[in-house]
Amino acid sequence: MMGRGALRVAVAGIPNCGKSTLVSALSGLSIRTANYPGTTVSTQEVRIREGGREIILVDLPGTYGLRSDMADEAVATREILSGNYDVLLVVGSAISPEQTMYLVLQVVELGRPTVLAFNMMDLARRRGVALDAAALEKRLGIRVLPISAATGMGIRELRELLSDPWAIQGGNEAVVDYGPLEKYIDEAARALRSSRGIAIAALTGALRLQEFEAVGEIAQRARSEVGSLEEFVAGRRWRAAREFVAATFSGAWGTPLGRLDSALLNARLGPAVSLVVLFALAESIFVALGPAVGYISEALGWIPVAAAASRLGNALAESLIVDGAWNGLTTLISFIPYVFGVALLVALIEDSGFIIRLALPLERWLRSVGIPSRGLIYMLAGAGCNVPAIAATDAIPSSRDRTLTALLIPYVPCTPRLLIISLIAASVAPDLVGIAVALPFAVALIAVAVTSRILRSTSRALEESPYAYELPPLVLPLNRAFLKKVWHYTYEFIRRAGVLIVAFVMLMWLLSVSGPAGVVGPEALGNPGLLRSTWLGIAGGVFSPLLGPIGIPWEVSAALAYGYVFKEVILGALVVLYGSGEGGLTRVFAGALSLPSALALMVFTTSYSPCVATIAAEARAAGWRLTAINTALQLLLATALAYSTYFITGWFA
Amino acid sequence: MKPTMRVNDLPGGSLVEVAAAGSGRLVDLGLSAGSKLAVVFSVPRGPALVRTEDGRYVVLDSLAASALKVVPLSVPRGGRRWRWRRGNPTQPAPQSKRRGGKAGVVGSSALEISSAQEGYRSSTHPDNHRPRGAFIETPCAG
Repeated sequence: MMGRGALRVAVAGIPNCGKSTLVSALSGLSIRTANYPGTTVSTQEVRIREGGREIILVDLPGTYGLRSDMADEAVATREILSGNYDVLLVVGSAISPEQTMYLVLQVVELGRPTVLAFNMMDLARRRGVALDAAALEKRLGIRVLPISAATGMGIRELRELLSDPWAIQGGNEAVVDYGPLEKYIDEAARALRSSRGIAIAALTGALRLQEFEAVGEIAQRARSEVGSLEEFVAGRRWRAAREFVAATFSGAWGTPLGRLDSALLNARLGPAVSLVVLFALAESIFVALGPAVGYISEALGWIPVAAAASRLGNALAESLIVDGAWNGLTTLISFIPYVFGVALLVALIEDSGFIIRLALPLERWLRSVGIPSRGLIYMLAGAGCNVPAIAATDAIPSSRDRTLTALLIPYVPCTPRLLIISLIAASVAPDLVGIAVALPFAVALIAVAVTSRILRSTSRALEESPYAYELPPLVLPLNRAFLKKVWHYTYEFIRRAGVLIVAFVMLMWLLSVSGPAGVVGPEALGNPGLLRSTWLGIAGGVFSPLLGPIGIPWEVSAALAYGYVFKEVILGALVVLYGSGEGGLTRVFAGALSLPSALALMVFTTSYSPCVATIAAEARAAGWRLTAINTALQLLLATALAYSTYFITGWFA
Repeated sequence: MKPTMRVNDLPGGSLVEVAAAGSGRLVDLGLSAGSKLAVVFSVPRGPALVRTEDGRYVVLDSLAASALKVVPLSVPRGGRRWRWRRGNPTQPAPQSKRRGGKAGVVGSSALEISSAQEGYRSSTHPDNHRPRGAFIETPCAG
């Protein structure tokens, strides 16, 4: 609360009202994201200083009303009803005033100090919409500010207002006339000693707490008079919302559909157009950023870390710095451009309203496979590299879709996995490389369908629930607040997944220079014989009995085990283990693998494991428990599919 | 009692009245019993985009669209195909055989929803009351 002068402001609003853009506009560069206790729903907390006072902004998930049907809305509802804040800032959408007013009326009934900031006023004014803020303030009894988070209009006034809690009051609680229900509301409010809002929430069942059992009997009597309380109350609120808007807004609001909408929201062309656009967008990021990553790697190569470390005069300490810490750091740095690029892409299509138009025509088919419709673009981006795609899932508004997408992305074969698969295909079936390279995507689709079903039955948070939302307008969100948000996604990745990546790489280094007999030494990193005696070498041997029966040699199994570190090291490990150059691997594979074994190996490689960076990013997005289940599932599924492939193709061969 | 259908059983361009919202969230979005909607886009057993009387567009995913029970007021006249349907033609066809219609955009303001009904076949049209097992018109595949 107001202890030590800090002012706690809960920020609520309907989905797509620009709430997070406003929080970005109000904040500095530091935004702290954390999961709401006991859920996977993330809330953002921002600290700002205004007028010598610290203000803590808590950005709640978007909600259309105070009810608890969905996980994200339940969190917002619980926070709003709890009153655990000094001020409630409701962000409204000036292009959807009725939907905004429907939420505002419910909030005002709570009697808590409230401010209404009508966002997107610039867009509304361009469409000829005008707001009589003074008239609305008078009717609601709360401060109303027309603002635009994108252009900065009204942000200064909002900051100043928030820093002065005495200027913010609770509104007119009796803002909606519920007619025959009024006497029951008064009775419930007296029984609970609460506001009208809490009494209505208790009567309609939106708030279910033990102490509200007292209102059960009142609710029953009310129900016998007006029927469904939920529908009756919603009907009265909608009537009041429309009346308020008619009295205080002028002009034609709403989201007119344009030509692009006609092309995308089309039962015949929509799915094809959406798929082409999504593939093109996902591919463009990796094509555009490839050279940048190359330059960064080259620049990092110039830093004389190895030369500096050699001055220590101790081979183990030198290897710790070069192969452990520096290797982990350069790995993290090489991910950053991709993370920023993918975050920019997804934030652009999410904030512009484009994603809904792209995902809607494909929703039915994606749902039948078990892919959240908004998750497709992230999964396509994952074909370049899983890590930035998982990091970017922060932008998905629904926690269920966000978690499920983050867990499914590791099944999508990334570029290094595709390289290995292409090499195997070129070795055993050079004429069929084109077809063979399509195989991983077919395997990934099967794996995603199976895993999605299993995960959804494992976790309640991933269960399917109906989802509906207002169609947001198509806008170009290129403004300062938007760029700040993209930077925030990147920064969160560096801060949280980055530390894990560096730690994992150092752990893998430790396991590759030591074994049951003690320290083996850094020589093991380049010597297959010594490597077999390290912990990592022993772990590599674990795959041998698993893959041996389907004709995959020990050397390949061990190299695949190292793929848990990074997929890029598999080819390097094979070169070391077979003592050949990368070009020579084609000949080695051709001699060592039969066609069924090669196909089984390609299937196994597609989805047997994520790398450490992917695991770290996955754990950040979905939590350790689901990540552990998912990683075990990947191995099981890849093994089952590899055995099936081996025996089925062996039968035909 | 009027026959109810899922909103995604109807092709784009249909006008409907909500019979049962199916979820609290839809009530919060203003799609409560009795409200009238224009179906802008729908995929059979899949998602739908509807337009409310006050001009808002609401996106429904497959589950929400299947849960939204509506009474058809009119379906588009154009873009149909002939096919045999067993049973009472006023009842919705079996799910496995239903197909959607062409997407269409109806009107640009709330008032146009009622005027858009001109050119649409009413649910009380004589064609809807042919004998059982007759050839009838159904919306074109989407």
